[in-house]
Amino acid sequence: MNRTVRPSRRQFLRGAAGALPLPWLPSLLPRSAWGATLAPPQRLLFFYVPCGLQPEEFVPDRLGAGYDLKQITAPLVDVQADVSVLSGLVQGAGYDNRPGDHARGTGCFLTATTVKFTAGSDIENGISVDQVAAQAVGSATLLPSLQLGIDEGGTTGDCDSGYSCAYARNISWAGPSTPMPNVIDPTVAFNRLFAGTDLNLDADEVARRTLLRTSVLDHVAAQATALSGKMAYSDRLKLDEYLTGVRDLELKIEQLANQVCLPGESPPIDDDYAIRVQAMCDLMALAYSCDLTRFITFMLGNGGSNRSYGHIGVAGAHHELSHHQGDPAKLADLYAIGNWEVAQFAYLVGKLRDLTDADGSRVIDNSLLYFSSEIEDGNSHSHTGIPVLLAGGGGGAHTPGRHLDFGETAPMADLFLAMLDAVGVNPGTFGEDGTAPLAGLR
Amino acid sequence: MRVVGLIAVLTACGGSSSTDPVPAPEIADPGRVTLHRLNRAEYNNTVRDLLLTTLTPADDFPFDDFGYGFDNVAEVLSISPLHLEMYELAADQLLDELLAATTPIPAAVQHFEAESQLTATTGASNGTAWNLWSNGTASTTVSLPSGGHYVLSARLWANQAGDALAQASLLVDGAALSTVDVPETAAPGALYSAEVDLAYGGEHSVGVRFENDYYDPTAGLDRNLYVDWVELQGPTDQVLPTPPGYAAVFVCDPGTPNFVDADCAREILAGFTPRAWRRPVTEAEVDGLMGLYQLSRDSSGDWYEGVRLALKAVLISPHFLFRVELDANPTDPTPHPVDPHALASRVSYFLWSSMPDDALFARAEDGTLTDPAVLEAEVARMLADPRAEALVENLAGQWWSIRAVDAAFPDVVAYPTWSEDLRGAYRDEMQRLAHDLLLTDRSMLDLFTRDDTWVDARLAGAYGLPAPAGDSWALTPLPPGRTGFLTTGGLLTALSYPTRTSPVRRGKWILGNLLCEAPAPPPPGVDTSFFVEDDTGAPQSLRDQFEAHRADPVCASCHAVMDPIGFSLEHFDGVGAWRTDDAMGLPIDASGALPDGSSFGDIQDLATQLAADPKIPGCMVEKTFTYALGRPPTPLDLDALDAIESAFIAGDHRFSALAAAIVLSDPFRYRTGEPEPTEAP
Repeated sequence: MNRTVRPSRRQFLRGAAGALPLPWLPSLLPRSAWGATLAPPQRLLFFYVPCGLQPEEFVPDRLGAGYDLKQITAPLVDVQADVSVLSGLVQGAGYDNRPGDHARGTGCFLTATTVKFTAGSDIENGISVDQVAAQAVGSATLLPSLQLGIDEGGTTGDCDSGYSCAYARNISWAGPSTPMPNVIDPTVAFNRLFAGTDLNLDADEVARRTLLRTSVLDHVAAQATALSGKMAYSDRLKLDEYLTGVRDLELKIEQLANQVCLPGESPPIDDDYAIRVQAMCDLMALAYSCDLTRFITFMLGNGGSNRSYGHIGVAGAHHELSHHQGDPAKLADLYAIGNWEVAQFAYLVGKLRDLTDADGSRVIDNSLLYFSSEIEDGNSHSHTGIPVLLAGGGGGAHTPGRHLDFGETAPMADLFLAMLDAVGVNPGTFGEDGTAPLAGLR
Repeated sequence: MRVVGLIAVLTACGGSSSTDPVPAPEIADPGRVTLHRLNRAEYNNTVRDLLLTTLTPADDFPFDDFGYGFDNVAEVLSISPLHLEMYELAADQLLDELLAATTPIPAAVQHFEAESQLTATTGASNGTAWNLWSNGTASTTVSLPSGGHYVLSARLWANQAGDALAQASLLVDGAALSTVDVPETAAPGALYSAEVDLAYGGEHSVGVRFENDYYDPTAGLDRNLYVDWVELQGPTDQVLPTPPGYAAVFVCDPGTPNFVDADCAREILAGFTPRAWRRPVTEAEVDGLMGLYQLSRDSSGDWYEGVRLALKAVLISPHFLFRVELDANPTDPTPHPVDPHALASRVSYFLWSSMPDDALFARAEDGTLTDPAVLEAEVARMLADPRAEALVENLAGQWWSIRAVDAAFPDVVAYPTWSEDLRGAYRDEMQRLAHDLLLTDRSMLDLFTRDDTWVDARLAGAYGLPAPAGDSWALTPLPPGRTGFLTTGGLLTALSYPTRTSPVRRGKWILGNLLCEAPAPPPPGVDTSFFVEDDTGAPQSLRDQFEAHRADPVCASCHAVMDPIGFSLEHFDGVGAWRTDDAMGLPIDASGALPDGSSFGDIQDLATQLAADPKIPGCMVEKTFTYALGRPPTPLDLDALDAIESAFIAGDHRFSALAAAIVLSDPFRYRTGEPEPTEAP
């Protein structure tokens, strides 16, 4: 694996200017690195929108480059060269002989695994594609992965026809019963990325603080291990989760010594939905440009969300509208919502086009961004032919800007295998039906 | 005969097989609760009571996993790596606040370049400094936030001439703090400082005065003083006020007579840790924490930093974050009493969502908590304490969907009266009613039939009632048509869609939350279309639109119960306001008939019947049991639930009777171990 070369803290301070986060600065790299080929990091991002995407106003009529934009995809006009539309992919794990497509579709969104039907504590899913990547190569960065969202966890009521709320509110799963919760507050997310990075400290002080922090964590880990020895099976499982968390935190602290980015300004504190979404997109771009993480998932809303998009003039609840039954007024509202969702994605793509990596290539060229929903048409709740946007070059793995159709024969899991391949991870199979990286993307 | 609804038996991977030896308990199997992590509300309340802080760090924690209607079910609550990051951040925030008074606030610095920012009585600028070529002053006015200790500095040099060195004075308010010789002869000169204690803030002058000009033009000798800049730093002795929690934790500190650093640190930890971990601690445990204190001291930390490091470990320890209940033999399924300290935590987290107080700890310590009479007295005491309001926020907040009001999105075009003000009023009303139901010794059946409510000016407008004066809340008889908690505007808004009511959601809520008979999910492939107009093109009422629910026998099995209950509330629109006609302009018919043959004319009628329904108390018992124990009841609990229900009914359906019965029940006071799973996990 390429060992990334990082400039030292002192070098960065001498060269730093202003409060803007600076990505790789070739002039700060050690002399030995000059002239050597530095491969920029490869990233993956998964952008989830709830309640489906109407294919009739999404999927282009033409194939190949220069595809036609429809009402929902219209906001891609300025970034179209970096975004492909993929149609005809199948998420088989979304089907099961019972209602609950939102929970099931969201649960399998990145796992391609049919989730276990339960509303209790015995949830069971597969491991999601971002976590496969994070567990393989995520230790290279401060955070192996980052899960962001907008909607709260919800406090009352069930989530979809007898399925646990865990399925509807999480797309990132580290293990069969380990959903990775979203951070929904941009300020909290910002602090996770930058707290503890005080570039005014010298190396000795950093080492002292690291020693003290990790000593505390070692101490409580030892307490947990001792406690575990006195407990029964179910209790030990809880302590195992605790110990995993402590270990991950220790790894993160060790990574802190490598930070080279000045955080800049904290995001605005605002309850407004549109502002929070944009703040999250800004944070995702920042996290990539500072190489604080390479695997991000973002949920624009929870599965089956009933949000009212008042700020774009759409009254009514999203989920209720998505059961449009052919009503033209409801469809018009759905197209408007989809259009807004794609506009947020286009904004993020635009930011990554403007940022550059160490070798001068654009961050978007070294990323693959996946945009989709848990179902296709909101009324039919189909999991076949769910529209997908794939943005970025993936370091050469993908030639973007085309409409590719896969004839409702290729599994979504094969696309995930292709994305994993782009970051150097090849598990061979993925989910229930992924057998080989999807061909035709390059 | 009681049927425990749709709740699955938790057999925990493997559980007991037919070949396990049958235990011979003195009591029936009381079940067990998995290691129970503090949830967000509990964490915030616990640090509030432990550290006397007003910070609520858990607001930033990930949302708690939710199951069986509540976010405090032990088996369901998980810990992710994100949690550990947040716990560590929270501990730092809390300790920062606790120790805020132990480090002075960094002093502000005001800097004045002499050539541009000082006013002089003589001399001229040379571009980078001011040349005082005769006796005079370069000074400026400063505005200070407060009195206190200040440091005045200036960078000076001089042209020397004659027998004496140039002399300068540093001035504050025209008075010299010090007068010094300035031997330096060229830039950058040297730094001269003096300190002063000012009695008050506000406007002061600071500056430099040249004291001994010397000029002999015939010999070409000229003594001048150069001032580069003047700086005022301070106040340097400001500290933040000591937070209330400091005295609770720091039973000694460097200011205490006969202070010995390591001894005092140990004394602090020996007093704080048992409270934080809610149980006595061993010498070895304190030794371990002192090891962290020593590590900090050895790496040049001061005494406070050393103690702080140990305190941090206490706050992110599993002993703090979990409610630990140890069994002498963890795999032995024989029932045994919950140990007194663990029992105290069970009671306090049930009634207060927080740690035990000193009085409850004392009962645990002296062993009397195992006496049912003492336990019952504690329950009564704790219900009368203001901390019992946690039951309104957390038990009622979830069970009666008060929290759901914050997640409602009514459309302001369809409902122009909707506003955030109204949302707040609705939520406050529900909380006051819940407070009355749980904490004022009235029958919980009043949930159905209470005929008055609390209103303020906002709410009175929404209900069409006279407004009380000013901001106050007043008890007011309900307007016609409304009854009890079921017709509160907040509940009905939470159980609607943004542009219309939802009789199905409302019916389902009553069935699930109050009768414990949640309907099964709809079958696959169901056609959910319904038609706004009938075959002749005339508008249909919502009831007629839902006709398919009752025409199709598969749908009717559930909808024949759900829909009539929901339609009884049709007079209340999507934001809980009364109406006589529905959205189609058709008169509302709020009567209904249920499959068991009963019928009702309106919601008041239905509410009266529900209040008399024998399933209601049993369901209240089930829900409260789940919340109190942190696990749903299983068939093994049937006898205990029956006994609790009998006590509840005998206690006139008062919550205090229900709470006491639960706390005194075997599942609450006893637990079992858990056999190892028979197959590999």
